[in-house]
Amino acid sequence: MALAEDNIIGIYHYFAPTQGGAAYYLLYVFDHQGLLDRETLHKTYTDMFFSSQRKMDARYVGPFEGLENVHQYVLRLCGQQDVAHAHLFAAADFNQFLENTTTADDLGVLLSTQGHQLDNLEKLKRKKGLLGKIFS
Amino acid sequence: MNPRTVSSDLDFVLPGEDWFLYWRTSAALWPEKLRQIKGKRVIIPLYWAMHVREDGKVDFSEERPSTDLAKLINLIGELGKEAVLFVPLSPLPFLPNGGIPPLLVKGPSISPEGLIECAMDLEGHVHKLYSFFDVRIYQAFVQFAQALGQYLSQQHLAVDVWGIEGGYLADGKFMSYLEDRSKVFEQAFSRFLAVKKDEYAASDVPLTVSPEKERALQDEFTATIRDLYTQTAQERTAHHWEGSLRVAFLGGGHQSFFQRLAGGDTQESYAWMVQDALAQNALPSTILLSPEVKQGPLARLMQEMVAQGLLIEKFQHRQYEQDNTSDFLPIVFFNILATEEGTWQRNGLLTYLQQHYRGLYRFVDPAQGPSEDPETLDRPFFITGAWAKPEKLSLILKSFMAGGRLILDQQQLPPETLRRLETFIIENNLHQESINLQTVVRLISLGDGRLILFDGRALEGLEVDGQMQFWTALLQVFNLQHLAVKCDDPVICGWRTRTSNALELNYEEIRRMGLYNPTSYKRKIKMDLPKNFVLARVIDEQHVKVQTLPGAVAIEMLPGGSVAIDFGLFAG
Repeated sequence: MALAEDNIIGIYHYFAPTQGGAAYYLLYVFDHQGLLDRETLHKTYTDMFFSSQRKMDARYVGPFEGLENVHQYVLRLCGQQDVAHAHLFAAADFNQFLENTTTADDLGVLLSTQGHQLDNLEKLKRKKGLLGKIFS
Repeated sequence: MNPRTVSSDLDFVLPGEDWFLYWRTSAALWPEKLRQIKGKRVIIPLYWAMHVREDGKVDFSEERPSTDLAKLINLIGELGKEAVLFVPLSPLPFLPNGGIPPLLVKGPSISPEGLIECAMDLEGHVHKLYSFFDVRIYQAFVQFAQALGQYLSQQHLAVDVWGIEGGYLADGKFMSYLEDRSKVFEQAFSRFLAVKKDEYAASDVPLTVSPEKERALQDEFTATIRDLYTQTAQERTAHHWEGSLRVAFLGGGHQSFFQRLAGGDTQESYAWMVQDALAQNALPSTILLSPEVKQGPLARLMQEMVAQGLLIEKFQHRQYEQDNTSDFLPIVFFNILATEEGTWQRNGLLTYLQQHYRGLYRFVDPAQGPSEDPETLDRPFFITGAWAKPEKLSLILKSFMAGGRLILDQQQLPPETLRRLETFIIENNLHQESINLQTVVRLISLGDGRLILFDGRALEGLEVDGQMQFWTALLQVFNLQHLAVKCDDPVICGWRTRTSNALELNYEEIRRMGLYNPTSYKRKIKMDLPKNFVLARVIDEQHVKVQTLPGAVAIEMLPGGSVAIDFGLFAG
């Protein structure tokens, strides 16, 4: 499998979708099994930002006022999904990787290792604790 | 499912639905491969880049035997089949660079959400698509179409040519690969905008470009370029030209791209997309999918509903074919005006149709609207008030007077349209009835023509059950002959029809229902047979048990199961 486990990958863009004004939107969020469930994504967004998605473009998650909000949101997802890392890509960065790739396997490796990495410290602590116990 | 596993070289050459990828095998092997195709027609998508030499000249067999279209078309004829050429009118996702010659590769096409348009083929190659708004691409396309037209004439090839616009399905809608927001597009669009501004300046009405207006102008510009490519292909291939088609590539689009990248694509999602493609008047294609994904129920659904259904309907143009009683053609009960306002979602129509008539309705381009075509007049046609501007009223009335069945959701209906319509009703002394079904429904009749008016706003505040009751009651007016499939969890159901033959004279028509279970769960289905439906035969049960009960049919489908059942239909 090209995508690493224990990882969430998100692609965002600053734009104005059909409904809603210009802001940051998460276009796609997925892990090694596929796209994350849209309902879960929207519920998490509503829980965090107290804003109904009804008037927003249901295809995307957002709007986010700033990148900081995107990071907070994705870290919340990491907690919910119990994964250690997230890799975030602006649409332009993703495009650059895509331009230099010819196979899905290569692209999967890039998406699992590059981009802006966010760490779910709680999961990492637990991992470290477990490994510490095993190897101590 | 792993999209990078390929079981045999036949999958490369014959990806399904009777497509033949001639460049993927040596010309010497064409006869052997072509014999594997079971359908009456062989679809040959033209690989534009394959026919362009390094010096830019177009080649049909002068240098490479694998570009010899005349040989290929003649071979297909010798096998008793008909060749159909597909000429690209947009980037195509299964070809490197979307099919354009390498010399033209420059500006990638960018989706409205800011990502390079790309697709993954069945081997896991990632293809980037390039902007068809690039003037160089258009100029090269003119040369290619010109050379193709000349070649077909010189070789006296009897072959039909169709232009194809590639796209994919997202949330049930067809998204075209012509849609582009790249720099190349923006540059061309700014020139278009300048011309528009000049036109407006000349008419003393200044053009104010709000975001909504800009989107509308972008759509208009895209439509203009689409027409340009279509007309170019049509004019250059002249006598061979049959029309243009939209092809929905299952597995195309970014949503499917990421799903497939993670290996998370399923037969089930693609099977529903096939029905969405039919509703969108697009030809679904499994060319991007791995053999593992498109086997079993999905393969059978594609074979029965597309290769043996939709393709026959699209390509039949000769009288003897229309009279051929052995062909089952897709059934369509309703036409729906495609709108961006979401009217049909809000008033519950789409939910109702998806529950009771999924796969049995078609969206119609707002540029067309209702017609006087006798073939489709008895098909109820849903129209929105927002569309029914005064200048559209004549289309509505012509169709109604010819015997058309029209259902108009009056919300946003311009007062001028309503005033003219009321005048028409009074002046012609038309019979009308009013009933209260959650909202007042007016039924106006003229011969076979029916015009139903209601205000959908009253439905928008209702619970789903209330909306379903409304549509059930309203559609009873049309006395549609249909067999409802009851199933707690949905299965894919495809309906086709043919006229009865000499041995079946008891019946008016034969309806074939295909049932497909692409899920990994068991499904139980029950159908109460209306009095004028008779179970005639059960065909090719695959992991399915069909049981006849008094006045009903019970079906148990295991995961991956599929079956076809013929019903004889008496006059109702």
